[in-house]
Amino acid sequence: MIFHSLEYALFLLVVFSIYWLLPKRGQNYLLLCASYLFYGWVHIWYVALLALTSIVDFTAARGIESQKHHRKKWLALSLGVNFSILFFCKYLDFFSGGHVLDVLHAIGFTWLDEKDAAMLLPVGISFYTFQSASYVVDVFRGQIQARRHLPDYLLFVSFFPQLVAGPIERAGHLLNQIEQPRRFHWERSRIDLLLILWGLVKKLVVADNAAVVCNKVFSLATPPWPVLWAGVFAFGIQIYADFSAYSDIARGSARLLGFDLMRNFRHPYNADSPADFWRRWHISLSTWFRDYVYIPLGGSRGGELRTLLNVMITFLLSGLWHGASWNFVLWGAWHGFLLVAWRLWESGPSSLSPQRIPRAARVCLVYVLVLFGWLLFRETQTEALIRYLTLNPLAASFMDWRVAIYLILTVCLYALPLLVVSSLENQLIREGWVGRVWSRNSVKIQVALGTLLLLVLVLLRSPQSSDFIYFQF
Amino acid sequence: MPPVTSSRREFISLLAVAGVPLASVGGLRAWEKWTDSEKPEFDQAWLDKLQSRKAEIALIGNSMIFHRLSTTHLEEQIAPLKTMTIAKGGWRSLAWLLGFKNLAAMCRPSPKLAIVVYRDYDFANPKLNIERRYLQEIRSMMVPGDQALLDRARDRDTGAGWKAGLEDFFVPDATVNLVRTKLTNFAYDGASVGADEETVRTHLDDVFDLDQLRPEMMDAGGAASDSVDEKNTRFTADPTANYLSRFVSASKSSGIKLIFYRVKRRPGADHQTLQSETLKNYVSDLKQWVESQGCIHLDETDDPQITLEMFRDGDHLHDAVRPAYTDLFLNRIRPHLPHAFQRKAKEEARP
Repeated sequence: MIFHSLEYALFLLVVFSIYWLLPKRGQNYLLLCASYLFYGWVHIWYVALLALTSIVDFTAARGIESQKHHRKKWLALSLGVNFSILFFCKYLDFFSGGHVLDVLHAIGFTWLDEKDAAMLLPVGISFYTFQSASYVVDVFRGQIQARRHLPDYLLFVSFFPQLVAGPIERAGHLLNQIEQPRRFHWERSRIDLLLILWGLVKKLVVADNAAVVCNKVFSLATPPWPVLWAGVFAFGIQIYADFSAYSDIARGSARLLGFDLMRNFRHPYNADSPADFWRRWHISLSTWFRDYVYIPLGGSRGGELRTLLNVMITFLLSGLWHGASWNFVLWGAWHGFLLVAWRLWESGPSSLSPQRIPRAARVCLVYVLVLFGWLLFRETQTEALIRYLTLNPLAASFMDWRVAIYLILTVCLYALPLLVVSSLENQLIREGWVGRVWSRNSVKIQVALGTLLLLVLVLLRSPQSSDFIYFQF
Repeated sequence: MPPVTSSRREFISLLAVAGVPLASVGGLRAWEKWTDSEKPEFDQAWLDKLQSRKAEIALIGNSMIFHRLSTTHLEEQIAPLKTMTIAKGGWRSLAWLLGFKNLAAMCRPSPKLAIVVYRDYDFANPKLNIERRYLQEIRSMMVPGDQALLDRARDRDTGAGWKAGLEDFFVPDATVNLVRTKLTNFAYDGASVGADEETVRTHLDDVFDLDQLRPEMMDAGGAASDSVDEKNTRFTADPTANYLSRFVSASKSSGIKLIFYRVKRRPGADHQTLQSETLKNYVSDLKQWVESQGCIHLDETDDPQITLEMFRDGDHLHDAVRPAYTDLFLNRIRPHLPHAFQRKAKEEARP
């Protein structure tokens, strides 16, 4: 079930209506059933894996707490099972060189055919595996207590608004809310509806229209240089609008049910350094890697060289998290390299420091560097990537540049709402507009905003809609 | 029961935030319908244009016509006969039926022969390509009484009916088209400063020409006919399941001979098109039924002269081979061409 479908709208309406009639315990059971229904909509296999991961981690966390002498074994068991499942479902194809079916047959799954192999990778497995694993590690570190009520934990891992594409929540945040009673607020629900609507506009208007341009460009064997970069620009808009749309709809849906999910994006294209970009982009994942990979590796405690190495390892793994493909590894390496290079630049002579460049120029520079990363991210075939990287800008005709301008203008026109909000965010907050819109007494403004968003949605929705990009991860 | 901070005012506020936008969009759609109600949706200009061709043969289909056939070459070969083409990219059975019934058959003089060019299961799925852009095109061919055809197609699938109903209620098609066209034109204006806009448009078409696609895209493109779950496909002429019987009755009432022409799909390296047993059975039953109704069924799927090298993307052919393909097409339809051509062919054959 996808967020931008009528089925989901009905599903949410039914769950919401029953939910607020029930006591807390009943609410949790309802959400648990709804979440498993939501996830099992495509295939029952998905639900089986989800339940297996959750039960193993729940048991391991109990074991860590109750059997102090064997706590490391319990941790190893949990991480072993989690990452074996992840490896089996997500990376087997990659490491078997595309011969996943042969491997499956060789290890005894002889009855499986190509169709079954295609179903092997459940949507969102990387998200819930990381979320569940972080709970066990937190219990191991003594940061939280192991839970005794299995249904609450099952709900924590499977909570449907954020199950498929995050944000990756921590037990200390979401599980605590699951265990507490929730209150319904009429005025908050108005804002939640607007948040969902804003997410739908970002997905169906901005991302899907940008996707049309991007897909067209990337279907060309050798596009002219400016046309290629117009396509990459479109992809930059598409992936941000698409992923942040999912997060907004997830947050809006969760808020309607009385939960607060973390913000996953803070206008990442306003970043003025690579590190700043990662503080604004997919925040739940970058903080996960910081807390569970970078810091355990030693963080910045082992000297400059060791720090840079830790950064590179973290980003290579982050790239691999996105997908079992070399282009994602390259993309991770590119961002690791950017962080390392920027750090070295900052630690150089102060007269050459990036801080001496005006902020606007730094933002532009970071944007261009990130855009280059999107080319690595988008193009999955190495030969095509090499072909694209060796295109000669001077070989492009004047008309090619005009075509590129046409494509960029088209994307910008559809992305206008997003561009305005992103570029004026600080001003809107400073002048009190955001507060005014979200205020309890701003019904008229909220009605006007809702009408405007729905009109934009209906009038500018792309004729071709696609799944959320991050579903594949 | 959890504590609730409610009041009648806040409940009404929530309803307003949810309801006013919906009502506004619904209102826009209602206004559109109301202002459109005076205007007939049928595109008379289109019919007039077709009529002016005074053609004897109507070619009905989709890109399988304009990306495979060369109508210029065809007309040279069958002169003095002329053709009219009623086809747009992506069209399927409902658009074809309306094009046949309301355009070809309504021309005066009417054509003597209509050829509907199709792929595999095209007739088995009446709800295919009937929304959004296609809906506009379908409506432009509808006359009073045709709404039931569209409604039936929408209700074929569970859920499709109520979704289509919602779209009908909320999506202001005319305004959507107007806004999108304005945005596209604005982008063209911006990109054409100091240059001829038409040149930019032409260059854009050249950049994105099908010949520029990656090879793997060419293999996948144009294969949009695979839209029926094969397991559930058994041939039926039930008029509630598809439009085949309506084609036949329109052919009978107009006196236009009707050919159902099945094109060869992209073959493999051995130049053979892979076909499942289910598909073979379906086509065989379709052919039998079509012929029992006094129409003609032609199938080029097993033609070894149509080779893989002729294909460009998906089921589309290279421009260079279109005349040669047209000759193969003509050889198949030749025995069924109107008498004027038969007479001329006989005269030319005399020593």
